[in-house]
Amino acid sequence: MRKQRSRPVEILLVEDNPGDIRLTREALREGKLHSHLNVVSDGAQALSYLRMWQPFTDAIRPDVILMDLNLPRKNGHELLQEIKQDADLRAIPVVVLTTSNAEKDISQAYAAHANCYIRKPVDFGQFMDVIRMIERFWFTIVLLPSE
Amino acid sequence: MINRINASYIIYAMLGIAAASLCLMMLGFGTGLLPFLALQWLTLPAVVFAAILVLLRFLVDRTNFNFYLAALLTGSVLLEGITTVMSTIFFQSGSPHALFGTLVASTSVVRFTLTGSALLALLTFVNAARLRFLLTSFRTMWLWLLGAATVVVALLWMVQPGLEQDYLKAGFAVVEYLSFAFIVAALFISWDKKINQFRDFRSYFFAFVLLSLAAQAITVLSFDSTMSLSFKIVHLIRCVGYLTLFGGLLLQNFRQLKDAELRAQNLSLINEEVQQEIEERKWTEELLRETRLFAETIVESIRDPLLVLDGDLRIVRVNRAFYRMFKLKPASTVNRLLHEIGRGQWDRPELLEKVRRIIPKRESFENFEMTSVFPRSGAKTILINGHLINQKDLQTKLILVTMSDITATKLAQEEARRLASGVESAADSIMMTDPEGVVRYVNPAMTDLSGFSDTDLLGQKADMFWSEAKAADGSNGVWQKVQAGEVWRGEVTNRRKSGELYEALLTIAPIFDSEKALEGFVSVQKDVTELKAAREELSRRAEELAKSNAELEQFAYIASHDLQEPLRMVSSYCQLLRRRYRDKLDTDANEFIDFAVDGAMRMQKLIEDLLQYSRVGTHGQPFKRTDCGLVVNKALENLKLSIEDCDATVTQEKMPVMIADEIQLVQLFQNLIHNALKFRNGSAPVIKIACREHKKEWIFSVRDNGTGLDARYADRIFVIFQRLHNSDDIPGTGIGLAICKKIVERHEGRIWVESRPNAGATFSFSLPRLKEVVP
Repeated sequence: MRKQRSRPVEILLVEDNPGDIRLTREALREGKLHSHLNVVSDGAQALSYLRMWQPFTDAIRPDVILMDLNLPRKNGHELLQEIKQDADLRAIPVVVLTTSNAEKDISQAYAAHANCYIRKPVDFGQFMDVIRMIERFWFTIVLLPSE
Repeated sequence: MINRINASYIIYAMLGIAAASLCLMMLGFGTGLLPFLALQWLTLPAVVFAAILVLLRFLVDRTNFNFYLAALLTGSVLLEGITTVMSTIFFQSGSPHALFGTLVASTSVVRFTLTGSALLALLTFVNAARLRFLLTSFRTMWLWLLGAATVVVALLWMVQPGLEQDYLKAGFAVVEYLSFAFIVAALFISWDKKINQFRDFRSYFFAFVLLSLAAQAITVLSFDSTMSLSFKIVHLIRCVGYLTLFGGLLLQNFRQLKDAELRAQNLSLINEEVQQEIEERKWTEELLRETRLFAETIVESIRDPLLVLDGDLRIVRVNRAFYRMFKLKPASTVNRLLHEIGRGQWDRPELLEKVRRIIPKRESFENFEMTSVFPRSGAKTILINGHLINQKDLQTKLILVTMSDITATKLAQEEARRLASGVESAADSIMMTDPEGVVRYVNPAMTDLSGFSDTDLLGQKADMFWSEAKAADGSNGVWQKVQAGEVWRGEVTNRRKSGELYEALLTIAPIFDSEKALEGFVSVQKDVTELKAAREELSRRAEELAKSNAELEQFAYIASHDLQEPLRMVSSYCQLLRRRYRDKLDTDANEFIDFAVDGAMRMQKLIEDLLQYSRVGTHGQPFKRTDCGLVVNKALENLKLSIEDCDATVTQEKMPVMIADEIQLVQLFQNLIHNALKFRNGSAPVIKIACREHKKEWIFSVRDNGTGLDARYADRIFVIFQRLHNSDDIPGTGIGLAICKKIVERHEGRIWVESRPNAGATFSFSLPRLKEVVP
């Protein structure tokens, strides 16, 4: 089994909908893992965060990125593309978590090297399950590169 | 009596005289001179008598004259012969007498002369033609031999040594006799059996008489005193006799000559007349011949058929064109009655009546029209003229029937009439102009369309329809194109008389005459103002509809997609509320929360269904080759769990391969089968999936043994969100069949249901076979 982390798991959530942010936060709170959720509401902010630009100079590099596709300013696809083209950032797993189940969005996301694509379930119970599964999968099952 | 004088009588008479002389001579033998003298005296009258007879005969009947001459000559020669023989005998009996000597000598001279005359007669043969004849003819050959023998004997006689003068004279007498014999021979020679006449004997005889006369004349002129009176008288009489004969001959010859001359003159006159007449006749004949030839050539070469009939309507003359046109033979036409020829096509009472009237009433007729079917030449329409042929000098009156075939003209006229009537009653507006664009014809549709009347248009330039805009630019291009002989076709804006503009579909085509020269133009126009407006309206509406549909679908998609977000919030937080505060709220609050969650969930489902429904139109795949068997299998595979759950039996028939959207077909079958499973009766579902051909369609059906439905609702179930059951009994939003209907309609098919409550349902849909492909 993997070693016990000394610090909380860092998750970057890129989501503009406060309801969803809160839901995610609630779901993670119910989870067993000690995680730290950082939220940015658009793609541009997300990039600034990841590159530790103003105003995120003291940002912590996330262990996993959860992102919606439907974002203001720089949308999810553009953000994904920039992350995966950036040699420094591309190692961070990106989980696309969105309401869209459009084939186009799915294929485009994977083409841009998204690590997985998850549709937000409508049912809250299911949503909780999904978040827990993400947690479990990415932080207990998958081995991630160490810093 | 003279008519009865026959040559034979003369010969008999002479022979009688000769016989009498002979008898006298016999009696006078030994008695001396008397019998001989008697003979001499008797001979002369006999000759003279014969000569007179011959002349008389000649005066009466000039035919056979030569024969009488011959008879006379024969008699004379016979007598002379006898005389000569007797003279010779006298000389030999040795009683020379001065008288006899002289007598014999003179006679000898005469007879010698006769020989000469015979020779002379021979000479008449001697000319180019005769000479050849003499040399080649056997008949004259022995004449030559005889002549030659005569000369030889005479010469032999004359060179006889010691021949006395008297004997010499006697020798001449023999020669003379031979010359007589020669004349006789010539007589026979000149007898032509073919014509029973002597030929050229008259010449011989004339010569003979002339020379005998000369001999007698010499004798008479040499009379001297030693000669006895009787001798002198004998020779005088002889001389006179020959003179008479000669004169007669001369006279006859002269008369004949004169006659001949006269005749010749007459003849030449007649000849001239005849010649003239011949010339005239020749000229007339030539003229006639030429006229005839002229007429003949015209008749034969004329293109129109001609018939010449007599008063009984019997065909006398037919020209070639007639035979050619009606395919008749001369044998079955000439000398037949008009109504008999052919197959009775000419047996038309009106026609025959008209033709019959021509001669008695001297009436002509023209342009009698007749249409008949002729064997091998088909139906023909001919125009017939009938005229009397005027023949002044002939009693027979003839009828000339001429005809011309107007079948083609007639057909062309009919055709033209039909066309004209078509043009006249055409719905399209037709106008014809000359090459300069001057209107020559407009049909009623044209006047209706343009508002101009016939009189406004005819004779005017056709530019009155042009709207200002067209007059300014386009018309010149059109004009140039049609002037170049091309057809122009297009839409134009024309002007009515009222000034109102209208849209017209216009075709202008040049019309060429048979010489390929431009004759004018025909323009056909159709008012398409309304049509165009309607078409524009239609296309505008179609566009609007498409736009509206696209917007609707887009709207449905976006709406359902974007509706999901807030809905998710509602449902999620309701659930979160329930989850966190279930124990802190009372029963009512929990129940309210449950209703809110349930409503949100139902709303969620509806939105999802709506989204799916809208995607049938917007998110369909392109049609491609689809095996319906595989489609059904996929649908069954997707429903595998449900099928197993309710223990259903599904059977399927052989399915065709067609061009379709495979994913949608899977969904279609899946929805139908799912329905069949869902609306099951108490028992295990039995589902039959079948397919059959019907006309140009495939008809698929999904039959179940489920609850079925009332036929009243058969249409309603295909409408979106229409349900027959409440959601507590059977879950679902009522989207499944609506999607089925939309999928089928996208494939240009139909969908329907046949069912009764509790008797199962058969959902069928048709797909056009056009989309079928041969596997």
